[in-house]
Amino acid sequence: MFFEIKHLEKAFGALMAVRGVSLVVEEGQLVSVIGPNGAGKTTLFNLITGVISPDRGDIFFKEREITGMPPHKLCRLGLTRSFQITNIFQGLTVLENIRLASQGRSGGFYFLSSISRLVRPTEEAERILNLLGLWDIRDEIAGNLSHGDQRYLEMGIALAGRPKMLLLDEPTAGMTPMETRATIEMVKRLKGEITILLIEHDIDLVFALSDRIVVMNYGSVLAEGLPDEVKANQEAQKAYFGEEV
Amino acid sequence: MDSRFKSLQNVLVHGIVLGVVCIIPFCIPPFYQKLAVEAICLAVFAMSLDLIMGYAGMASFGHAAYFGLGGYTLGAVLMFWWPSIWPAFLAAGFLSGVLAFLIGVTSIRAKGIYFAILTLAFAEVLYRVVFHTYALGGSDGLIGIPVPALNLIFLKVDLTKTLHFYYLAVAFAYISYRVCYRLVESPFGRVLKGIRDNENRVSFLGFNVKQYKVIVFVISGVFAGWSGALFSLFKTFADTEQLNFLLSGKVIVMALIGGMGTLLGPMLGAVLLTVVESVASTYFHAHSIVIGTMFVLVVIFLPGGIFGLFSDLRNRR
Repeated sequence: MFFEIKHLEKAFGALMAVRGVSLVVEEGQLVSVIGPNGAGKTTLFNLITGVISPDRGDIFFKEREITGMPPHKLCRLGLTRSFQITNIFQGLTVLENIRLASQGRSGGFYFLSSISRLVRPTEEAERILNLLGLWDIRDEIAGNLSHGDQRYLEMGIALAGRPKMLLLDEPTAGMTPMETRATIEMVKRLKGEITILLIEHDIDLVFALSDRIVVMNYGSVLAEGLPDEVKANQEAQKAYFGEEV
Repeated sequence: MDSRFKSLQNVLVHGIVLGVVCIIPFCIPPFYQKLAVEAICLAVFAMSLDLIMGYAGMASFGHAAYFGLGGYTLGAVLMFWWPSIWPAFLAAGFLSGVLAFLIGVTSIRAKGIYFAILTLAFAEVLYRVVFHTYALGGSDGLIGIPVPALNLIFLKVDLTKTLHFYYLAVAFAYISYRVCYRLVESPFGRVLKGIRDNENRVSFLGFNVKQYKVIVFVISGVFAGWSGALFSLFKTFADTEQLNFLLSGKVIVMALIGGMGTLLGPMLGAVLLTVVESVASTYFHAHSIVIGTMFVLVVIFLPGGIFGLFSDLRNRR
């Protein structure tokens, strides 16, 4: 199994944020997690990526138990994430943001060598800048970019470590319709190359790209299956789209 | 072509600045020569603080601990064990580094102001311990540190002469600056800037943030220790004022006035503050008011410090 979660649980005080979630992602698949606000989606991501540790349950990645492993170790194993709230290096340039990210994968310390000697990370950064259409603004300070460009950069940073598996937390949050379409195209290109677990509110994106969809509500999995199965599922409809539909 | 021109320009600028610095002692009276040596020691001290505060975003409120420990270590080695400069400096750097490691490892569990308060608390503990240790002279400190000649294979430097000491301090400061500059411009330095900007994200890029923080904290502690050792060697004493919270506060003010995150800024700030303080104290009794006013004005009108003003002007051109 490429990626598997077994009976994951996490409570914040009296609130059960994630209750007994089990989930499987095959290599190369794109699995989406949807559900209303507060359903526990981002908490699930935080549990997977070692931001918080679960009360119960296990997580496996490439036959290895990774439950509670700190983020930097997960990243070196090839599992990383993007953030729902833009989480970039405001004071560095776009190029430096991404170069820093691709430098991280090697894990070594380079105290006194020159930054220009970092050939591989620089090439890697240039590849990603081209992929995301950020090449022309590579020397801008990241804090000065438009919201949409910052969102692209957010994704670029996650991609720069050449992850095997990527957790995307609402990549289209706050984007204009045009930017959203561009993002869908981008995720489409990544699909197959990288295994993706996606949290998304944009239903078009979810149904267009997902191999499988997991619907969460009140911390547990409500429904799971192929896009068409989920579309036909009454309970999922109720939770996500309201009673009327 | 462009980069070669730039490096030639760099060599020129460095040469001119060093040349001017080397001529200065001939243009000022002996009292100010002595003040200049102290200012240079403090400049390296302020730069060491900049490494962690300006680049990694870790505020240390107890940096005098390493400066003072460096001074005491040098004094103790020279007085009680081995009156030779090199082992004394090695020991000063080593012990300051060890102390920085211990305090760093413990304190980086906390972040922001909590980290700062922990560093302050540890420094206060050291201050109190030294204050009550009679073997180290208690509140008087180690007085009468012998000053052996510095043996540089091809020449012997008589460090009891202020002028000779001045050149030693300049050489020390220049080498320290070059090393720190390489460090902050290296890939390691980029990670530090990343930690300053967004610590949480850095860990998702595969960097072990705690390791980076401890390492830079130790490097900073070693440079602080060396600058303190040089300071004590010049003064021929190491006293508890060198460990005191007041000095920890003063070095923060120096770094802020000069401009954090520039290395040269804090050095400039240290020299400026030392000179202004000395001049002001000959005219006013309440000379701290001058420093205080300067600090407030810089924080309000020059958030990038005095060095920030220079680079602003250069960018505008």
